[in-house]
Amino acid sequence: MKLLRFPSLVQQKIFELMGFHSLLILSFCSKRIKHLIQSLQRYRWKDIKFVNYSFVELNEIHITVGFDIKSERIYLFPYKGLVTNPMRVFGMDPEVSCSFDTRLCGSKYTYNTEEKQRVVQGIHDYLYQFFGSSIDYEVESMETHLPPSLKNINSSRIKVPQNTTAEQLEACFTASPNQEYIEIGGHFTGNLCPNSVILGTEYLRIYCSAMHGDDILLRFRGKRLDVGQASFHDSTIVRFLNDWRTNKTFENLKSLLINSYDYKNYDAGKLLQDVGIKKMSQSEGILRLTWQMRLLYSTFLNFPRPPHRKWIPSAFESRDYLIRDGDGEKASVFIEDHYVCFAVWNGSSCVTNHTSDKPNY
Amino acid sequence: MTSPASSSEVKYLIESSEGNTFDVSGAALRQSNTFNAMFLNIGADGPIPFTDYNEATLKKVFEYCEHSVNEENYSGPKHQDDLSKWDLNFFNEMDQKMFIDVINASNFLDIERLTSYCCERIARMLRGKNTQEMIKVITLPTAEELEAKQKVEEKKAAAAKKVAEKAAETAEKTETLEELPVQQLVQTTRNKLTRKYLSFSNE
Repeated sequence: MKLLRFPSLVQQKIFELMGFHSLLILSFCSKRIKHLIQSLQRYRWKDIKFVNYSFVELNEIHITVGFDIKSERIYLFPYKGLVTNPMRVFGMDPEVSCSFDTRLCGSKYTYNTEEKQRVVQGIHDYLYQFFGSSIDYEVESMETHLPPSLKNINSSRIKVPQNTTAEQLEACFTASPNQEYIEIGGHFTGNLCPNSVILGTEYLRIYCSAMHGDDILLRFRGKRLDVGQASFHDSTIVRFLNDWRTNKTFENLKSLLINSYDYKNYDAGKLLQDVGIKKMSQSEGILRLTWQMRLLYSTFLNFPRPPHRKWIPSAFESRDYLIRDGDGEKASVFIEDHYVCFAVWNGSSCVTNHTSDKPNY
Repeated sequence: MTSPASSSEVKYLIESSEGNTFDVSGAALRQSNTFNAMFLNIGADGPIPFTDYNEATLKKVFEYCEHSVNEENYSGPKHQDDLSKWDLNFFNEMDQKMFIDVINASNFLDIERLTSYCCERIARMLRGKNTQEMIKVITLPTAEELEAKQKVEEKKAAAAKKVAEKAAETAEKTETLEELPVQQLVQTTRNKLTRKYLSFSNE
């Protein structure tokens, strides 16, 4: 039965009646079939929000294709023996070590771990070409070693393994240096390369216990920074506030959230005394600032209620604010216990609250 | 013979590619959106020509339409397991060629229910298969066949190249001839003709 000879309405109906995995496998059959699926099913791909490459334990790789209200998973299992690709899965050459898992054909594949980089890049190239560049491509790593560096990635979450050097961590971003969102955790010690691309990312979230985050804060060049668990010297916080106020650095910065948990408590009176802080009066009320912080789509993957999302609201209230020299830009500051919060008014939603007595986070 | 349709008893004559005609009820024909758009309100003076399809195919398609006249309105493709015994028999007794002809005719006549069931049948043939198995179902050439085809094409290209080279050589000679001054060309022709005349008279 020559599928390519059917009228396109019939072809379209057949594709519509096929599930995601069958359609993907069908696309491996030939370039013409692949292009046909692409052109006739384009409307179906419009619902795709993201593709997430998750490197989990023991070299397993889970690839999630997240549609508006559902998701499809592709599993790659490591195999130590010889793996060849006679069926050219994901359009890769026959000698690439990736193939259908013969026991569980459909969503499951096997690959040789020695060719991990080549296999994952090959799959990513195929999906990128198949679904287009308008969706988010994410890398997530929870392994005991760092993930391969892939091209055209928008966001990453990396659980840094023990004894990782700054150079090794930096190498994860070589192929996609300009990512929109990066999240670093695990055994991250705070050491980054001098001109690290991580510090230039628009949205950065860092979790690192028992370390000082001073260097990260002072060298951050992006838009929004959230730091959890790390502590900061008082002098660093003061320098940051003064540098912003005097228009010296941090011209892109829109918000900063520090939560040092039990590692440090900050004294607002001491930190704000020499930074030129202004205070809203009782009659002016308290300003509540709200903004959206980036996350990986996969963060909410297992939440019961779709749709998938990549933004999470952040907010705090404060009477204290700074006025920047030169352009008069204003930013609110809130320091209490283990929290340091800072947000520029232009870049946040600002609502004055007249009922609340005490500012809060 | 045919008249503007309003009652289900009205019969229409259908003409196939062989020029044969046969009756189909108005109720069955009305399942075809193509018919509805073209003839339902204006009627037809003679047989309705569906001459891209043979009699056997059209009869099979309208057999389905006649059968499903009293079925409830179509509401999306049915799972194969939900098909009636009659439906299953209808599909199972067709060979592949007839099945393909029926899909094409049903698509042209825009009979939604039949087209969808046919498509569902093909989708079912592809589900749960690996690439090689799918290639067999949709009769795509395998990698080996493609390689063999490529070799044949390469041979053809080499042969065509040789022909082109020869043609170029001939053209070059002609060009050389054309480049001769006119007087010289006339002389050459005269000489040729004289030689020809001499050889003829000698005979």
